[in-house]
Amino acid sequence: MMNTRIWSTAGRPAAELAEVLHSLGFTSAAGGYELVSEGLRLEPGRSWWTLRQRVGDEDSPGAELLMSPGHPGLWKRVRFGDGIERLFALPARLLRTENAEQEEREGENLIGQTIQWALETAKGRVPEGWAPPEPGLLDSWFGREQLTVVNGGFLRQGDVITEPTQFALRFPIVPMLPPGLTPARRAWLRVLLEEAQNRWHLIRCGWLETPDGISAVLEVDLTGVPRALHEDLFVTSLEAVRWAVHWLGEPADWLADVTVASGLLAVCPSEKPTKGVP
Amino acid sequence: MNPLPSRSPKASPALPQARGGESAHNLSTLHEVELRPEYRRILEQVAPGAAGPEPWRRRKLAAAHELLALAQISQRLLIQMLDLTEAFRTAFTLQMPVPCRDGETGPLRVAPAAVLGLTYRQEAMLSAQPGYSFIEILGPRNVFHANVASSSQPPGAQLLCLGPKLPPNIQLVDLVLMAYTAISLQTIQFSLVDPAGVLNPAAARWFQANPSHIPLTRDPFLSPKEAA
Repeated sequence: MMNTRIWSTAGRPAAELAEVLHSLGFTSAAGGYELVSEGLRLEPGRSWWTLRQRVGDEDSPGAELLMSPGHPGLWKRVRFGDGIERLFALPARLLRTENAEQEEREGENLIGQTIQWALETAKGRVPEGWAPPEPGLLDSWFGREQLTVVNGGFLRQGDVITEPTQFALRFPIVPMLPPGLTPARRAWLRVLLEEAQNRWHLIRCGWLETPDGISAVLEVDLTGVPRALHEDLFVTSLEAVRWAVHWLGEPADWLADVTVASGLLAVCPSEKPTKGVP
Repeated sequence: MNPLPSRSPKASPALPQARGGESAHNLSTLHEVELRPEYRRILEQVAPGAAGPEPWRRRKLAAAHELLALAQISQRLLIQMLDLTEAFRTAFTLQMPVPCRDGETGPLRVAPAAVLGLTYRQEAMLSAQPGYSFIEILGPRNVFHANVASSSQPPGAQLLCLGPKLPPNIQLVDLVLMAYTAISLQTIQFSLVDPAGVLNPAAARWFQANPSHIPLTRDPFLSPKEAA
């Protein structure tokens, strides 16, 4: 049978996608869709769907990329050119597989729910009526040993946070910043975490303050995620965060070890853009 | 920029090539490869000179082990120099097709191997680095490649650009594999509108007009026999 549907890079019929997005207030724009009232731009790419939001006052250039952990949803700040923007990225395959078909059979609309999830969490809100997965169901998706990352002499133990208003994966990358950590060392650590947050989708980095001190953490916050995406996005996120912890553990350990003298780390890192020819 | 300043190498013997009878290994388990005596001796020779903070020293030793293991299991790689004193510096020959052109208008010729100089500095473990800051093609001269600076243009160093920015803590063996796929044109970036990556605009335009030369080989780094 000939496929007469309109071609779309999103792996989903363009006309169908446009219909859903237009019903949510989006308008078609070059390479994607825009929700002008929220300053949002959606690009349904082949590998990732990205929602980008123009910078606001709180995100003005010079503002920190790293936020306190616990913000609901996948939003994070990333560098874009010389400035900062907010980004919400989701693997495209999750929106075009049996998840979407199942939801549509049940009279629900996964794309619409996902966009609503992004819109609500952009404002720091959890979608009404949302609940995290049941513990028994959650445990069937992965092995608890996957919350342990070992790389040589480096070991980190992660956690799954399931509260009525939070569902997140969190790994400490530096469990406790030592009191003697110099501003230069902390700047190196910040640059490392910012690079990770910029480079890898889903992953968000931040400083977690507790009565005992401050730790540097990596997290993927799935609070508010539509039910049809629960399992696939959780499994994908777990792999992503394990990969990032594995990658960053060794340098983070070094930066946080104040017993290791280093001339390089005595001064703050250069943060000049490195793109371009030598 | 010359990543290999004139300094006497700590170990410079050309090492023997791999022989048959290796046990099965893949590129993600190089740290588990038991080095044969001739490779182990090289590591023992350079290890005492590895200076710097302990995490950096440890990292250099681990990277040296992996590079030697790669040379041991692959017929493609021959290490010629290894120095762990400050930055991790090595020079090695890679058997692979290398695009070259003599002069501005000469025909494309394909050399059978390249000698690469690789420098991995301490800061590369901790922060993202420009993609041109790791590898220089020491030979042959006249490499004709979109992502390699031309030897006929000052300063004459044939720097290889592996991307706009490479992530912190990138593995040294990954750089070797990236160099292989880049030089053999299995991966190539020749968009002139993207200033990152293209170091030879003439070569970028030439390969855009002559795409039949891409790639120069489809062979993986390890032969099926080496990988099996």
